[in-house]
Amino acid sequence: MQAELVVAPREEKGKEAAKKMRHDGRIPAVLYGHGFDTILISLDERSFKSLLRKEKGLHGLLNLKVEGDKEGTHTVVVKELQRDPIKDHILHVDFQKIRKGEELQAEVALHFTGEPVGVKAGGILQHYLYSVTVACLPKDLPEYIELDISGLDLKENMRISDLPAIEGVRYIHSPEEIVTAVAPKRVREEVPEAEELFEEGVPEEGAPAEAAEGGAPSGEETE
Amino acid sequence: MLMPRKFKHRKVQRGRMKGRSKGGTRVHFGDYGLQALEPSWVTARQIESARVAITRHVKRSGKVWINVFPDKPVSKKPAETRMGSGKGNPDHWVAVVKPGRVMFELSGVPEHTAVEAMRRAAHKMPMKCRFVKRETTGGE
Repeated sequence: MQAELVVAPREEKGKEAAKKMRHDGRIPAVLYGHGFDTILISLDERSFKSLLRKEKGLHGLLNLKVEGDKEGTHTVVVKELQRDPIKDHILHVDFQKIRKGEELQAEVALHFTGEPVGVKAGGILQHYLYSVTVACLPKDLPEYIELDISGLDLKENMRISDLPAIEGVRYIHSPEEIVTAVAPKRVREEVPEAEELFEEGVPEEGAPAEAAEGGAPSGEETE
Repeated sequence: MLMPRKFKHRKVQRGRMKGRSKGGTRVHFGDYGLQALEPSWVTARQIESARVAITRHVKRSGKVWINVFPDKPVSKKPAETRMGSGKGNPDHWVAVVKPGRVMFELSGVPEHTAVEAMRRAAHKMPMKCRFVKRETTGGE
């Protein structure tokens, strides 16, 4: 069953209005889609967060009910979610309206089951992908993809091509892309002492700039 | 210790650390991470020290990622020198870290081990940090 979310249309635009909205416990959002006029909406932060926690999360289809809208309910997917990196507040949500007969691309979670043989033999399980992008019709969109990894031995991996084939669902990734692997436990040697810092002499010519994030290079050439 | 192999300028200006980290604010490679909550310069020595603290605690199991690189040279004047006569000599390398940045990531260990490993690493850091987990794919 698809989860339902009630949203309200909004008139105000811009950061001041958005700040005020967030202060009042509402998240500014947008609803768009193919052949559909974009609507600016806002939703209750608390109900959205509890929905993400309890239901399927960001994956899968949602029913969006816009207050006072003639069309009633829209079937949507969460296309983008902006968060505050520190406070973890949700800043903005993009919803994409889904058309019934039109193919969509969505992220589907991977659920790993079983303990690999290689891990029992002392290897380390490394996941490279936790979700995959699939293209399918809305009715075929799986809630999650279950992957049995109990057969994985040391130095073995599972690729996109090894994922179960689901009718009507196409994986967007390259078939060679690694999903998960069991690596042997590596005993890492101690890192040797760094060479003398800032050795005298001119660095090689044509060296690429190692730009620092915070500081602009002074333009001073090598002395 | 980490340092660039080549560099264009031996000395650079200090710059400012306004705002929050533009990227690298989520756990991307591993399952657990250490996130900076304040802006700071992290020296190559501090990064190495934190890495050693993590790997020793997890007893070399698991996998560690270091998501910051000290690519900014810091200069220093020798002790007991009069002011003037130009900028000092390059002394060490730092990474510019802004709030929100996930500096270290870890996978392949149980959560309680990861929490303790990151707590030890946080003690080596010059700013307030917190332990973060990968967002589970099923929910928030």
